[in-house]
Amino acid sequence: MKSPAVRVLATILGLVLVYYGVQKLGEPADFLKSIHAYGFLPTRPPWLLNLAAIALPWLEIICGAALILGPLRRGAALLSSLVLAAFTLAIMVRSFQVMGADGTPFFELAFDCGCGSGAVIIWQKLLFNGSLIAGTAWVALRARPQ
Amino acid sequence: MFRPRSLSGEVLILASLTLAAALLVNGLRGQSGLDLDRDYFPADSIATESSDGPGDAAENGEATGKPQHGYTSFYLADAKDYQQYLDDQDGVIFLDARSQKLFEAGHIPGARLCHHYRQDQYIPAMLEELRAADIVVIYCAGGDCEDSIQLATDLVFTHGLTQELIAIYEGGFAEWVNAGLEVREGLQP
Repeated sequence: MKSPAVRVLATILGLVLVYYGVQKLGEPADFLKSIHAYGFLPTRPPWLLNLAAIALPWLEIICGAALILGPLRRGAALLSSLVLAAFTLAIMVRSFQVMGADGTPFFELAFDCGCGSGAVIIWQKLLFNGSLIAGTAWVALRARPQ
Repeated sequence: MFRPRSLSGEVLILASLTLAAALLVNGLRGQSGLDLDRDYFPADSIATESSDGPGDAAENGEATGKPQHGYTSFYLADAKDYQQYLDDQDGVIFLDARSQKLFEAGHIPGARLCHHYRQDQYIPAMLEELRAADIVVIYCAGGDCEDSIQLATDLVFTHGLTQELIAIYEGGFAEWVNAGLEVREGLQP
């Protein structure tokens, strides 16, 4: 990878991913509850949901580190963008569920999305995640094998 | 250093590193880690297996947006009454299904810590007492928190308590605090 722009962007994205990954490491049960609340993984067999809860923070940390350091940068960018896209979709689905349940307007919607930052304003989170997805996808396309 | 030329190779290495780090650290955490084989959401499984069990609860919460369950509900009016017999708790046991950190920060006076995700640390020591109780009231944070329901389901289906013995305080700790009722800090009930 020769482009400084890609390297700078990859470093920024990597730092963000490492930060959010570390935030989720504190209490595994809290992150387990968060991903269970989305309902996109079955509770049977239990190991599937439990493994996701312990592995996803590490996926963020390791992909973040790879984005910063260089080796495996393409793969890290691709994996990050896919996981971010899946979670962003899940946040959107849950947003519609919450709006349907209590009638909260979209721009007033706030809940703990399990993203490692507590309760957040959802439209801002979706915008933020959209930026991360675009950034990681761009790095995945532009980065070259080292 | 080995450097894969293909994108799929990079993804495979990253996935392997992730899995190794996650399993290693989770193992090193000991009791504070997650037990991969344990079903932490037994009420969900019961609900899909039986339409009559505690996990299913068409009678409770359907219109409120709160988690549904099939246990007796404990309401704030009862909690106010409970204040009157805090000194005479025979037969009534309050269980706090939240984490130790939250319990220490504040809990309902008389309630015992029984963090749902670490219940193995608490239940064996109090199981006989729970079985002998007249009613076991379980609460968590309130709102959409369902840890109290999950703990109740474990008490019934894993530890053999009768369903009739258990009540869920749906309003939870948030409602208790908002009502201006007494809160106790620390690890003591």
